[in-house]
Amino acid sequence: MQNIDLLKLVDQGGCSAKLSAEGLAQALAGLPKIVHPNLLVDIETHDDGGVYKLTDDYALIQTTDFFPPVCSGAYDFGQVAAANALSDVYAMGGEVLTAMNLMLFPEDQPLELLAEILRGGHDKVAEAGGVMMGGHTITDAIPKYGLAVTGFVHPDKIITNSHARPGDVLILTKPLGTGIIISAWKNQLVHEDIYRQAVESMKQLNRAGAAIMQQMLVRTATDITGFGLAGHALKMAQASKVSMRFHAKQLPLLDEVLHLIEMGVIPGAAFRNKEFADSQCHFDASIDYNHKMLFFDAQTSGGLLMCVAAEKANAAVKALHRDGYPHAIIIGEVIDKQSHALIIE
Amino acid sequence: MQIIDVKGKACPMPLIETKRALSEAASGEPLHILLDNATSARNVATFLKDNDVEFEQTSTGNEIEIRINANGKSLAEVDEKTWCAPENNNGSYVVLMAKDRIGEGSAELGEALAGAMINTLKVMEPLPQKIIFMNSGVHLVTNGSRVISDLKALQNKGVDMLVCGTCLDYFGKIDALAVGRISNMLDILQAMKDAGKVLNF
Repeated sequence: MQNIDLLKLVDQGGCSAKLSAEGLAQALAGLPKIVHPNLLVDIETHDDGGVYKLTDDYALIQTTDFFPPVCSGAYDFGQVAAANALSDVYAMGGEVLTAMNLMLFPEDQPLELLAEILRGGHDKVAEAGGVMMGGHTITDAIPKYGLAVTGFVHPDKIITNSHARPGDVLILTKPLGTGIIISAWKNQLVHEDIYRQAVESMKQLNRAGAAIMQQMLVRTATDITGFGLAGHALKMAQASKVSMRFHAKQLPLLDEVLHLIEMGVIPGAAFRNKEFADSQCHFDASIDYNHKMLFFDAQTSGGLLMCVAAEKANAAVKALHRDGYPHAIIIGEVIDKQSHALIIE
Repeated sequence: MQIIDVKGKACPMPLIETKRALSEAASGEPLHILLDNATSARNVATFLKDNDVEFEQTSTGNEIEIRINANGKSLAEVDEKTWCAPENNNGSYVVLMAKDRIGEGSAELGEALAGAMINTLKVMEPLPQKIIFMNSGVHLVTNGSRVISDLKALQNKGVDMLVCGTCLDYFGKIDALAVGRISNMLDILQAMKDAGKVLNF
């Protein structure tokens, strides 16, 4: 097969694909609020997916996500996009049941490329224990891929973003910096080893993390994706009516990330996330600009940010290290609501 | 002056090249950044604003120009400030000249001291952010003052000079302003409030 770099097919602007959280919130504000006795989690709290109760001990989680290429290889991209879409099920404490492909593909590109992307997606769904049911493909100038996913969870075990309690400890399971590294890779500013490290991190499922959350009776978590650590933490803090304190020096990072920010590799999405969340963040004067922008870096298929009861926190970190998340670490704690939702020290 | 032409370059190359130029440029050297992508321009502008680098932005057609002036602080100073400074007191200071001399007593001595002080300001590290001239202090910035050349040298190094417009008007010297810019009570109060310290003469 021809060796095509998917990143070369992406819009030259390169300033990433997600609408700003602020714009989206405004646009959604006009929609009618959906109320239904079986709807357990709706869009009201900006959670990761919706949850619909079928019976007293069985609820469906439904979610979808798709985006343009975030890495060069087609098989890698398929896996990353699928892991990212499946992640919303895990962030809600569920298991994957079924998935369907969502594919937009350029007419003038070889179909082998499409097949490789789909193979990546299928392999990830299989790894997640899910069943791929089919999908839909249309043409578009820039390829885009993702999944619509159905998962299940016991209604008493749903993990949302709205029950964080002061005293809970915040644990992040994957290192930050995928947005910065992919941006650097596109511009040939980073070694392939570092790029591979970012791709491997994005490909990793949050499945084992979700299992550990259920063992530790965690009820509040989210996954860190396009709105960055600050954006997703902010949604969680607001939905839970609490504030969160972060220790900037504890943030787990992919190699080279701070060096790249120092060079000026700050993707447009980070500035957009900053615009959205900055007014709710209080940064201690000791935090330098590079660490600040790290909080706003958009992640693809990032880790879980979980609120864990303080007495279980160390056990949770240990279990995460054991189950394939060597970077998992305590990065802060939930505190009573303050004038700022996020306090970074 | 350096021109950084990043037209046609994908995000975040414009920012990377701006940052590189800022850290390599001699302190005070003006930089002109040429862009043709509104998002990139907004990101570069946000970065400069976040780091307290002063700039002006203009656009003609598709081309956007961001000018970092001679009085823009170098990034090295900026970094030092954000790293080391306690909040609200970043080592910055402004000088207030509310008289055309220093101290009471002999007018001759007072004027000589004012001249010596302004001359010495030029070698202070760091320089004041602003010098504010009020009441008879405005005589220092109008034609006939003996410190015009020293003040112009300070202005060229990026020191902002705020001159009380009401005072110039009172002395009939609006047209005789030789250095600095006419300002008002609101801006003057704001400048003094925002300063880490005010040196009051």
